[in-house]
Amino acid sequence: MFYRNRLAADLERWESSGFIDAQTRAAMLADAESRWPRLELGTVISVLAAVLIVLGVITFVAANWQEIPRLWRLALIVAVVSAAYGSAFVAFRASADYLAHAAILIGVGAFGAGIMLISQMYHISGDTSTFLMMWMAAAGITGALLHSKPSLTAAVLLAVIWSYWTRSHSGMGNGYYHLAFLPVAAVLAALMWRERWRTGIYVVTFAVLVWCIGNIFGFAARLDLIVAAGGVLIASAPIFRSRKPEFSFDNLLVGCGLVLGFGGLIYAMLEVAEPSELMKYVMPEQAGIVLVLAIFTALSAELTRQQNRTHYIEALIAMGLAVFALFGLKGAGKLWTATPLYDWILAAIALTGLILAYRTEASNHSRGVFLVVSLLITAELMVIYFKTMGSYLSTSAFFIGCGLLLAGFATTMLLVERRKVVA
Amino acid sequence: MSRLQKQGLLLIAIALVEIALLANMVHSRVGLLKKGQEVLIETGNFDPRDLFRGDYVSFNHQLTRLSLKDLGGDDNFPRGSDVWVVLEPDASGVSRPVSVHRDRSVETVGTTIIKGQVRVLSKTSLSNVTYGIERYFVPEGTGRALEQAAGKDFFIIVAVAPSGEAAIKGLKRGGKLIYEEPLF
Repeated sequence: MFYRNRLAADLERWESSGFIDAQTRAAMLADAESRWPRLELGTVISVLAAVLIVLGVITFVAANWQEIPRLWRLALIVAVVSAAYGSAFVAFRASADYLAHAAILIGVGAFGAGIMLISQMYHISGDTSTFLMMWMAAAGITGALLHSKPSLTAAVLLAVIWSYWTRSHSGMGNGYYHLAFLPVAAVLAALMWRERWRTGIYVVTFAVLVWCIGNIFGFAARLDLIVAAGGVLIASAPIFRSRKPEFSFDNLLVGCGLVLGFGGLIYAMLEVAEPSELMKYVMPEQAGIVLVLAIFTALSAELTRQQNRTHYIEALIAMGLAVFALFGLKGAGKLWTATPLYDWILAAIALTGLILAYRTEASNHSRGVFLVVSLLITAELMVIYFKTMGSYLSTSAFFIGCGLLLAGFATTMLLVERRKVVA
Repeated sequence: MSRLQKQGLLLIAIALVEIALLANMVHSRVGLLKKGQEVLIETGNFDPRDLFRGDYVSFNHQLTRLSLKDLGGDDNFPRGSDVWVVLEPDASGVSRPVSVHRDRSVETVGTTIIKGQVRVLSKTSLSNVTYGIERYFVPEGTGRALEQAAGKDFFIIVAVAPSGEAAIKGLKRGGKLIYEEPLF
């Protein structure tokens, strides 16, 4: 339970025990909330800006743009790596830790883009697994040395991609388990534990679940569905367990809503031309992954169970908006060359909706919903990345433009906060 | 040492290590392209898209599938294992496989030995053998044009290091060099 919730619960108990009256309880809670560090939103926005800039750099590499000689492109990447770590130092010195961690994430991402650029330059096709492992190790070591949670999270994501890539390109077929992932996941979990970061532990757990499903699917078709369905039932159980004895219908509604919202979003990512064709293309493997994501979502719902429930509704609206926008993007696929503006508008609506949801949730300190919305934004960005905004270069410009905008926003927030503190 | 100084030193160390790793990657590829033995391999192609590196033309070259009954050397390979293929140029200068081995311990006087990895195998053949020369990255949207222009008599020029490691050095169509890989 987070501090605010614990305090609210304690104050309620003290009021009912007669230690304080209702007015004192409200005044104490209001005072605590006024001192609550609003930098949570700054952290989220700066990390989101970093993710956008990293995606922009990777997309720029993928464009293989010949107008800039390849050695200059490499020099550009090295400059981004150096500038990112330099900016991190400046931010640490200014005690703006969240900006520093965002800059470190850009450094780690640009390092990976550098690896991919070199392998593209020299047409290296056989070592992608080694490159991904190198990138993951860099992210993990950087995260561990600098206590950077975004870098550690990036290491987990890269570990999943590395494992998936290695397994799918092994040529070993069914029955091959990429066991090397497990000790890596254990090390990452230990690093999260060292940081005392509960969300990080969840992220690693989620990665292990995805690994299990991916590997079990190779062992026996449909077994993943049974395992995932069992997992969903187990994970959903806490939703029914209310702290108060009466059955909590809104918890159930929230859990189902989040699961449907999240599942819908992932379904939207599948390669379908129209939403009506959705079911035709759903593979058991994909359904398994959706169910695993549903477990995670249900856990998030449980984490946020004690929160003020109106926030759930806002989160659901944001997710609905995102799903709608994604379907819009899918439907617009055929028209992209003719009406690129349409894609930009839809993507901008979706991103704005999600960022607004962040803002709402940030002001109410609802971290569980934060987590869900973070994943949604990641999914949204992945869709844009895969579909591209017309071309790689324009997608890169879109990502970097949005990233710089958000970075400016995060910096402005920091300055405003500082001014408030001084005042 | 203050916390800030420590963070500064760590950031510098991380940046230097990462840049050194990138430089080492470039150095090893440049060395291979400069010093590796040059062979010509016949190929066909098609073009998909890579998650991180953009569009590429995928080479379905003649070393991808090896018929064990037509080649000398070993005949029992576990899936996923490394293979060493001995190449010999024919009269037109195109390198052809002559034998395939489980290890590197084979004489290579007048021949070239290239290292691959077996993906799919049967009793009589090795399929989908990869050598790290299967992808040729191209600017966005130009893969299809290259594929159509390639047609028949399309070859890749490959540099092979003594270790068997290979790198694409250039492309040739109908005896004419259409692309030469710059070192930088």
